[in-house]
Amino acid sequence: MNTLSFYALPFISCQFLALNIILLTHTDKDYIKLKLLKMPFETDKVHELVEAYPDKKLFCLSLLRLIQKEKGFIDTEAIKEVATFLELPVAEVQGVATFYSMIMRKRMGRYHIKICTNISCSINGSFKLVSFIKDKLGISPYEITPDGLFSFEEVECLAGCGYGPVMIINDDYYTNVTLEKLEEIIKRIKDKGR
Amino acid sequence: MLEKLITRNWGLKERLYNINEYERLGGFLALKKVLSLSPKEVIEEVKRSNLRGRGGGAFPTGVKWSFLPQGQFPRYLVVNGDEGEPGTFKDHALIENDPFRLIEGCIIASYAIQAEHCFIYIRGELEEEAKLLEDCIKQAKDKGYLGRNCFGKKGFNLEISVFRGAGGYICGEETALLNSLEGERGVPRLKPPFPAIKGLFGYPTIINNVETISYLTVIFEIGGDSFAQLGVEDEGGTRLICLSGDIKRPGVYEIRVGTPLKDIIYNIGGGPKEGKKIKAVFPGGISSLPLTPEELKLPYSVSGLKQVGSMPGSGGIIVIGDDICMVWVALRLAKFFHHESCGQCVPCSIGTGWLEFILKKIEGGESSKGDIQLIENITDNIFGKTLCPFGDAASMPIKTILNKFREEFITHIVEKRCPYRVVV
Repeated sequence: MNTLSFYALPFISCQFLALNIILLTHTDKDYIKLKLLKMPFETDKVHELVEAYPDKKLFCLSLLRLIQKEKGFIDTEAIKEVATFLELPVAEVQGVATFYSMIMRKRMGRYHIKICTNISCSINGSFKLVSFIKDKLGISPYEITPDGLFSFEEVECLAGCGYGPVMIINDDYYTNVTLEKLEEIIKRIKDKGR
Repeated sequence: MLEKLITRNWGLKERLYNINEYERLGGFLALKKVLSLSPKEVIEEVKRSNLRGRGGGAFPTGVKWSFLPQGQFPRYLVVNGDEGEPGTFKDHALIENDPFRLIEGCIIASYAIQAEHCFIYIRGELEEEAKLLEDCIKQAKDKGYLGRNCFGKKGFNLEISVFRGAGGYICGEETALLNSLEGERGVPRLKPPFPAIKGLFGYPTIINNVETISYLTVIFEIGGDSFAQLGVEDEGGTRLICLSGDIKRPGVYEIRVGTPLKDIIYNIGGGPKEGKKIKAVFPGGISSLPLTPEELKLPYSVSGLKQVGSMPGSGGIIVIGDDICMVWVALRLAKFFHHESCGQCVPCSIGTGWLEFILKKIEGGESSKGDIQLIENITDNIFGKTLCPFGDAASMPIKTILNKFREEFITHIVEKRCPYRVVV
């Protein structure tokens, strides 16, 4: 990395389901070159871009997040694909995939519920929500309801302690969640799912 | 009691998501002042302001910046927005309420340390905030405030990128954050070399918290000296605090550094919830040592809380009411740290697991003789024996809970049950 005469920085953003790779290259003459790529995998182009960087590892986490957005989870096949693609050992990619709690290693429900059970949220009653989900939907953490709609997990702090209990469903952030509110949200999703 | 410097424009929400509106409300004035100074003068001014890092370490910001090796380029600025400390939600609120202040702060800091690229590392869970920041950066770029010769200053080029994490408390540790940015497992690196010497991609890197960076705008609005005067001797200015737990008015507030904790909790937070008394207070997230009600008269500053070994940390004040079992609190801490330990150092990754196991036994009324001694033994063997401060943060609060509330542990062991309201 240190021998780079220019410093090149890949930056991957997964904004709004449209999956783009934005690459910022930085040379003396041409200051900023923005290349926008449509994903998933126009592999030739991505290869071309990846090859511009000596350390392909930089793409690892971002690519895993992109694939998860498409596929819903990261299985061994996806890990192998990323490893081949970035020419990394499978173990290394697997290491990254298993490290981060937001990378799911198995299929989750279409609506994945995360409930914070840390101190502040617990004091404000997040465990009522957990037992409500367990009873009402009949699932334990990381299980999926038979209709494939819901799954849930207990997570650590979601940076909303003052407005607890805090809950995230897919990308939506809910604060001050009460049992009634949760029931209503679940009902709304169920109606939509049907 | 409450200050209105950084929180001045809070509550306007959508109106402040527009760059012109932000400018009309006094935005970018600080930046204009900064660009008329030399980078060296900017660093001196920040040193004069006595601003300390607000991410938990409380390291003086100006001093950190002056550690950069002379004449080595490129340099990077990384803004740490991986807010994960339980009890802390100020960065989230800052970005939501005044995103351009962060952008302006990034430009000021990059100018001071002569970085041409700035990364904002934001938690993976905060989807909305990441989108908002990307939009703000685009607006700033369109106005010519970012990019080549930004703000019309010749030779000052700056790009800001938003990078999203993927979960993991430990990524808030600065070297772990760098590893995560580089696409690796977010595990802390061995220090030294410190990031200021060898950081992102092996280049000199400065890592600052979102709040620290945002406060730069305030410093240059009111001047370093007057900022320093707002605080105490060795720590300047105002700061954001987050009140949560058993408190009447939870939320994010701005106070002067050095305000007594009692005033914060009773006057600003409205005291504990109806019918409850305060049993313990975590003054700076759960990594800080909990205080008893008698210790609340201490001033809320680094030196003030140091008297009892605690710290203001990231500003997350958690109030624990008297109906809550302290063994459960200790158990919840152990569970959190066991879950979030990166697994690199054996004392931390295995020790926290044992702490969780033993505390679960005590809370469940199945404790055996010698469990208290075992907890002491394990915490002593984690403290100071790990690569990063995570191990200390995992062991010391649990040990302090045990020391300050030992009768509760003994009651659990003698009665073989939990005598308190069950939260879980």
